[in-house]
Amino acid sequence: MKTDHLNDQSIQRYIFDFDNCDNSILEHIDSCEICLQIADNYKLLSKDLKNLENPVLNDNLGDLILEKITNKIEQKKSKKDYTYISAIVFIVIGVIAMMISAFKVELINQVETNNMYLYLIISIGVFMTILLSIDSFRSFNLKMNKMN
Amino acid sequence: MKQEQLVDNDLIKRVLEGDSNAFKLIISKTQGLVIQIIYKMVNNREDREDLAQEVYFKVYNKLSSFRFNSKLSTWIGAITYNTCINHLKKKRIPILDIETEDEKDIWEIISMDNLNSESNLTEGYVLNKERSQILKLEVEKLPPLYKTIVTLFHVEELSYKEISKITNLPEGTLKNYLFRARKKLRDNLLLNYKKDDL
Repeated sequence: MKTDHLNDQSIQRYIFDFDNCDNSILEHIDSCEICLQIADNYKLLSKDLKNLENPVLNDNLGDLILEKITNKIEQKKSKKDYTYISAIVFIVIGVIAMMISAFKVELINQVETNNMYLYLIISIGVFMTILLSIDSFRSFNLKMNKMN
Repeated sequence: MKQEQLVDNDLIKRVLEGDSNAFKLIISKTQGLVIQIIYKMVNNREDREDLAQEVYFKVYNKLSSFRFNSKLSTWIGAITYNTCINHLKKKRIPILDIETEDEKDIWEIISMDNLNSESNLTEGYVLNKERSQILKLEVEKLPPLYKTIVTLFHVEELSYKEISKITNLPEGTLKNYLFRARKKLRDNLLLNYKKDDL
């Protein structure tokens, strides 16, 4: 058993890091009232620290963070979906343009004979594009509603 | 895999699939720890609010890189701590003043001085008298790093290993800082009482 009093670090180790505490420290504290009292005070200090009031974010900041994060997630998602819609629209336009260019000669002949065919093809193309866009937009809205 | 890890895994998967409610759950599970760290590291109220938001934006953006080397809460704690450290660096606020670092020798002397019976009576009294309020003030006076590790250990009841992962400090250094922080708290409480007594 040590005859000198323990230093503060050893007393704290006894309280807060018991597994790494030397036997000599245990023996001393068991037989020394002064060191035991300091150890008890540290226990009390620890208990008081535990009981201190927890900080709270004012004005429902927690909710505000949630809201902002959610908005950001939704913004990201809607950006993604708009990119998807735009891609579809461009592809459809591209396909129509390719078709027109491939059948250009025939179209010109047709136009010469009857403009109605050209107008019909263009109208169908535009109509399909609008339908596809509306459908994509609806599925996007459905997904968003599901998330909410 | 532990139950907690399974739950975290499921939440992360859901967030990555775009489920914002899952992210709300992550926030509600971890905001206590995040707020504690921010409050202990940063004093300015507006900065605290901005930092809390910044932390969760970072968490959201980095979530796909989380590899379960630690608990999700510990990982978020580490992001919070690093965000606060960067903030303090920008503001040129030291997380641990040099005076605190070099006080080891004085420490031991004070420690031996306190071993007489009179100071022990004082301690007993000061630790009973309105100690919660006094303690709160004394904790606020500690340097940011000490405040944070004391709170993580005593209030959040995290292990040395978890605090070490959050602060990126070696366990030995962490324990040493905790010893000093508690000692400083105890000495300041004593000093506070003696001042009142005069």
